Amino acid sequence: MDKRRKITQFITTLIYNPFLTNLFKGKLHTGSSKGVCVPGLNCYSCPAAAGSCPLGSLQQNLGNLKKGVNTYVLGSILFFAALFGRFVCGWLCPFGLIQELLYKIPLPKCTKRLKALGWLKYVFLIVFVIALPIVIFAEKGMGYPAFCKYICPQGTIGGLFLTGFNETLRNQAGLTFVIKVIILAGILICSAFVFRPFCRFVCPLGAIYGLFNKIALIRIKYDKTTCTGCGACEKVCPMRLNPVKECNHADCIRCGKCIGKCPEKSLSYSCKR
Amino acid sequence: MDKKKTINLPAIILLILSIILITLGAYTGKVKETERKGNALCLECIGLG
Repeated sequence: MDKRRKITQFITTLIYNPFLTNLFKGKLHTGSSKGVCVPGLNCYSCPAAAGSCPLGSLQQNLGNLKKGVNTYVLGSILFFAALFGRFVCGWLCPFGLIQELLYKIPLPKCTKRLKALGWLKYVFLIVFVIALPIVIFAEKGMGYPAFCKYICPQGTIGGLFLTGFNETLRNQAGLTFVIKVIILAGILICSAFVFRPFCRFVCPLGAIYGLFNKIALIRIKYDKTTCTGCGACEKVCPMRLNPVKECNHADCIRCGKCIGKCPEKSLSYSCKR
Repeated sequence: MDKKKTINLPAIILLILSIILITLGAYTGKVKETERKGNALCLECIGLG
């Protein structure tokens, strides 16, 4: 299961970012494919990106509501959320893949749940993704994507390539860029010690998808008639959840490790309730 | 005894709603607008704006 998931993550990363040569040319891909919102966090200003980030597109719309609500972006996010829930996080997100690869580095690991910090991602969602673009638009007539501008580490990766190979852009790098690089470095370093720290504590897109985990079409089904309570699923869960007591919890990224570990096959993917 | 599996009605309803929203967005030019935003370099997104 985990090998299949890794392969899917790599393929998804390449599908989202097929224009790899652009990384070294300091320019973006432009084309009609940018009209497609991809399910995972993938900045449209990454030189290799083929599609648009749903979170960035949402903020752009909220920062410019005089053009009306972008029902296409809202519908896309709702579609992915209702279909997958956080399955997107576990299987279809490039930044999740990067964090997981760094976690493989043989260093001491933090095994604490850090449950209280899990609420932070909802703060980032409400303040940076929703409130700030709307408030700034209301005050100045034009808002901006605040989460992208101040925090998003995935966009910073694209920024590093663009500033590295484009002198004009490099000359524009200022304090905000430096802070973003520090945030990116912090998250990447943290990823070597904590499993997916960005996904667990920061990602607003994961926060949105997590709200739909209990009702999404693709879900984890728990059969209590066959469960013996051995606890094998809880020991293997990388998000530090108890899959028996917290089946389809908002923090569950549907990685399937619990499904693979259960000796009684009490856990499985399902489309039915 | 097998527990009766029921269709996931909330998810189906939300999926239908999302398809309606996407279709409405396509009809009102929002896909083109998203494409335009995606093709323009978002300086804020990469920390430069």
